[in-house]
Amino acid sequence: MKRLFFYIIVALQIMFLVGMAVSYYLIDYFGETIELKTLPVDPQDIFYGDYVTLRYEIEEIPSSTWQGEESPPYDSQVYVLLEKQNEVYNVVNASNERIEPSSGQVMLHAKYEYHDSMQNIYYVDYGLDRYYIEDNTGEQYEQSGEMVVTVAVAPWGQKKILDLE
Amino acid sequence: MNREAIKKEAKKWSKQGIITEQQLDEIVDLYPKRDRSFLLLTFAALFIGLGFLTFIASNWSWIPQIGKMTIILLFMIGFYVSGELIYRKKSKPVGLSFIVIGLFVFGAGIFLTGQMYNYMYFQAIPFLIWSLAGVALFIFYQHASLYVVSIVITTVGQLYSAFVYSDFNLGLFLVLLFAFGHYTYRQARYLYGYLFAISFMVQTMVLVFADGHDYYWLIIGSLVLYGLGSLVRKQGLNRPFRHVSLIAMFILGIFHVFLLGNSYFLDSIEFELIFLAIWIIILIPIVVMKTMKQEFSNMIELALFVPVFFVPYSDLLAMLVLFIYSLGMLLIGYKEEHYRKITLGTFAFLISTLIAYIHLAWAFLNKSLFFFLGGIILFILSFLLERKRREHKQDARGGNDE
Repeated sequence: MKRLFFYIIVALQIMFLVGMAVSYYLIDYFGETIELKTLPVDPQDIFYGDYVTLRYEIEEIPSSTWQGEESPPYDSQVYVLLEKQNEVYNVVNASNERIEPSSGQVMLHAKYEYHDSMQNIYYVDYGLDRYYIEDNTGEQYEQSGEMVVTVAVAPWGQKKILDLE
Repeated sequence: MNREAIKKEAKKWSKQGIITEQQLDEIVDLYPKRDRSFLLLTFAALFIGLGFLTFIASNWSWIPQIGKMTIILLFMIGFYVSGELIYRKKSKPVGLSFIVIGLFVFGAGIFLTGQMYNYMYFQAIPFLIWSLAGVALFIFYQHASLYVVSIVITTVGQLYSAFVYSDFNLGLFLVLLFAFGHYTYRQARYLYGYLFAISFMVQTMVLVFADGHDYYWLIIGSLVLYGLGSLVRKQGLNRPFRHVSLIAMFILGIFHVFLLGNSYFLDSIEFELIFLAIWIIILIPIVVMKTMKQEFSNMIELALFVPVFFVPYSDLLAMLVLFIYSLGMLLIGYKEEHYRKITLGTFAFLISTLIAYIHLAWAFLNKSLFFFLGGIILFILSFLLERKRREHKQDARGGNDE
């Protein structure tokens, strides 16, 4: 009986790790796909062995769409609402306090980085800046400047890159 | 004593004819042969594990994600299950060390899986889950090694939360208070008491600084710990809680001496009256309790908790507080003939003198003269105190002999 408790503890730990992995694969089934435009990256930087470095337009949020505090703490959570405009999704609203999406909008969680007061831009990070690729296919991305990235967003906030064009 | 050493000695005795051959065997048999074969086995397992680990680490990025998950899970299950079997059937220490390795694999697994699958945390969630797993294993085995490992994970998690997210993690604090608090109170071992008190102080520090409160709120945290320590009758909690909070306050007192004379520092803190109110509310029951228990002598310890920064010339007052505490400890120690208090008081008094000397003399004296005089003062002080202490110790011994 007592030993059962031990195996329950171990089983819970296994379930936790497996759950983390499974929820990632479930994004494919339950997630909403959105298209995001990348920003040009210094060509020498972009290809890094087995992954491509990406920067996104929506990582630079102009202060006109920023609703939150002027300078939230670094690395704190930011809520960003996106809407489809001209084939890709753009920021309509962002804040460090929770905001609810209306229909047609998608909410992304991001980490706050810093505020550039000269250009009035709030920088955030979505944790999507690496796309892992197969061996020796890096060159085809190296030449192209701006790309469109297809991302799946799960209702529970998790997201992953599906495709890169 | 060691079997081999005894055998060697006893052989000498039997050669001299003090004991017979048969007695030699009987004596040697009193010391059981230790079975050390498991040591070799442990090393074998460790080497194979390390070899496998380095092989995986160097090829980690080439392994597909499913493969990585499988490796993490197999390692974790392997260590846990073999640990449990060894613990029950062969050797408790080896079994427990396997369980601890399993717990580390789980922790590493949370971070690796999070990295693999692009998880983003805004709080120290991984550490919270990890510390809960550790607590569960401690509850099952009730062994000190798991207590130590888990409380370290919890405390480091809180520090991680402070440095990475500049945030206080309430979950980790609750784990400390309720999970560790429960077993610390029930078992009242010195080891648990000290570790709990240290973790409590560290987490209070994170609470005060990460939430942007003024530093002096630390005094409240420390006073609460001291109050809890005075409240419980169990020695295994009473002493650790009081010691840790007093050491924390003594260190804060040293900072006070140097910082409170600095007007920039004084301008940067805001004095809140609510602090004083809370301070008094916690202090009164402690004083009442000590009066009822007739513990008047250690009332002097409360001097260290006095919020000196509220009044002018607070740096001098902070110095005075350090002296009141150390001299008080010394005098009480002599009066009660309490050897440990005398040693503690001597040590505190030497440090207080050093601090006062540095604070007052540094600016006025030529640097070499400063060190020279300081050295002489400390030398004389330690000589006088040491002589007094020895006299006292001899008196105490002499008293016993009569």
